[in-house]
Amino acid sequence: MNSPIADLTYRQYDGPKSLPALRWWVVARHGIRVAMRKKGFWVLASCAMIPSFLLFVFSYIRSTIEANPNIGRNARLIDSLPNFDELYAGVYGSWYWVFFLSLLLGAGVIAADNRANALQVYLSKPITKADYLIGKWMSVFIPVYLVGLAPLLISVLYGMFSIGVSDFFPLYGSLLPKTFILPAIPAIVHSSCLIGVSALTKNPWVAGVSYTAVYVFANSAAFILYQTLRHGPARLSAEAAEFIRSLSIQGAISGIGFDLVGAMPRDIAQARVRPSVEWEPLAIMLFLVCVLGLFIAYRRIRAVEVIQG
Amino acid sequence: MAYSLVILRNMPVAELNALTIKYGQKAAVQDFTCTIPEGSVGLLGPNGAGKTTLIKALMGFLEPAAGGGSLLGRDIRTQGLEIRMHVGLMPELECHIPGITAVEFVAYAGELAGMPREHAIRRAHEVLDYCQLGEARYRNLETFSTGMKQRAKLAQALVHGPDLVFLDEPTNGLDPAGRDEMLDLIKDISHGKGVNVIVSSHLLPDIEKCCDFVIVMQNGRVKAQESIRTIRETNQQVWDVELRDLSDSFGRALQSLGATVLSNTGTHYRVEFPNGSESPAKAAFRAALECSNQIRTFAPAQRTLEEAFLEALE
Repeated sequence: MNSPIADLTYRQYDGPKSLPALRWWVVARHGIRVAMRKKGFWVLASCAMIPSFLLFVFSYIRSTIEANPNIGRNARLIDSLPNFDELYAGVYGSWYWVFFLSLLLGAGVIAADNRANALQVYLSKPITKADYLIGKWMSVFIPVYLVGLAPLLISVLYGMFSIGVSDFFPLYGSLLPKTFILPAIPAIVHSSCLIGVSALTKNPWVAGVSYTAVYVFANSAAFILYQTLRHGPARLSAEAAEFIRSLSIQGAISGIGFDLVGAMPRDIAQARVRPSVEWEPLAIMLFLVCVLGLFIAYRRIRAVEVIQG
Repeated sequence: MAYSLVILRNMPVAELNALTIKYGQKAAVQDFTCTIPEGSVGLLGPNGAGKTTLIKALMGFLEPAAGGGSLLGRDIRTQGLEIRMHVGLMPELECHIPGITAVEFVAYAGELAGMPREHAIRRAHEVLDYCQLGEARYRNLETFSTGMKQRAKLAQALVHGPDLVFLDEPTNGLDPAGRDEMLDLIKDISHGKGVNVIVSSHLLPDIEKCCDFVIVMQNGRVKAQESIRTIRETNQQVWDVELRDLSDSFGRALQSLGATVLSNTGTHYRVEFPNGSESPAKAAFRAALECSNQIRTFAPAQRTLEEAFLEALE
């Protein structure tokens, strides 16, 4: 039997072809598909669930103690254990997994394209710089948002069923809609910052290390300043000092989130509740940081090297 | 009863009028006016002539400082997106999308060009077959040799069925066999397949092999634009003559008839005959008869593209 008949000569494409309105979605979908192939994505997504398991444990301990008929003897113990909303705030405040995941997905989002000269391929197709930028941003934002959402959603569902729906809603009902807003805060900030840093280089490692350095430095500087002003000779008020502590990328993300939740993660050993901060100035600060990241990326995205002079 | 006569004729692929492209103060393309016909067109010029800049301007990547033009009937200043729907680009530089296989790369390029995903995947397999990337299509692009990367770049430029393909130095980094295969592919696409091709190169043999029309550029300006056939033609008085046997006296016999032997290699002569008196054929045959020899070939002389190119640059 001879080989099957196949026309291997060139034929023009005569199928459907359109200028899609959501051209950025093609870029985003590709980025998400590539991200989900990475083992690191699944490892970090799994690790991001750990805080919600801790919430299960503490909630269980608290409910077990509260159910004890000798509750009077355990009143101080119960007070030292965090409430459900404080535990929930703790889950939100467990920033490291989302941060590492953002680094994994965002550091190379444009840097890798720069290194491979992929921008010429992208921009030689009927897509604009804005389509490319939005697509790339979404390819970081969507996975990071979903990974941030999962532990919060599971925590709320656990609380709803363990406390009881009729008791949960009067006490913590507002947490359910907030659950869908909260994970967007770190996802937006990390996506926007990383896309800007990534556009500046051809090496994803350089982009990742640079963003981590800025992030850690800002957090450390804010914390040192907080310690100095709170416990030093200046003796700033707790609220003012907490605001200064929030003047970093992570500090602002946490500050806005805790303000939205209406609770702070409690330091169990000291049973001390951190004061909340005003979220508006922090939101403006983060907004400017995000705009800066996106502006840098937009300026750097081009199909040709433009030589001035 | 009135009849209207419709005359079908070739539409130009591009019409450029005093196009000027500047990088800062430096003009890379200056006052560029030309009409690019259908078919396979070569952009020929030394390095830095402005070939790649011209392609980028036609794709809408660069804003003209002055002048303008149209590509496939669309304005290059305002209709960049529409132009890019109908055009494919194989860039000069090595380029790919990292972390994916060749078939994913080409299918993704198709999706970016507006093809539905299922169509893009099927079409990616077709063009990769055509570009002779067999099982290698399932490997990551990072593992490809230079020749394979060039083929993948060509495939992504063709996947959406463009009406025009820009090929910027398509044989860069290829060995002689790979170069011949690439040029054969280009010639095949541009002849009878409904695809117009503009090949930018500084390699004369590449242009000569796969193009029908050539635009010679230097310092951002058009130096010549002709069909390859026309550009190679000499004036009607220069002819190539081939004799059956070696002859010492043929040259002298020609000179006695007023002709000038421009070159002689073995039995091959290039001869310039004088205007007027006698037809070149009669004179050549008479000279051969005088020295008892036979003429095996008698044809108008053609210049090499290199000669024409150097003449244009001068």
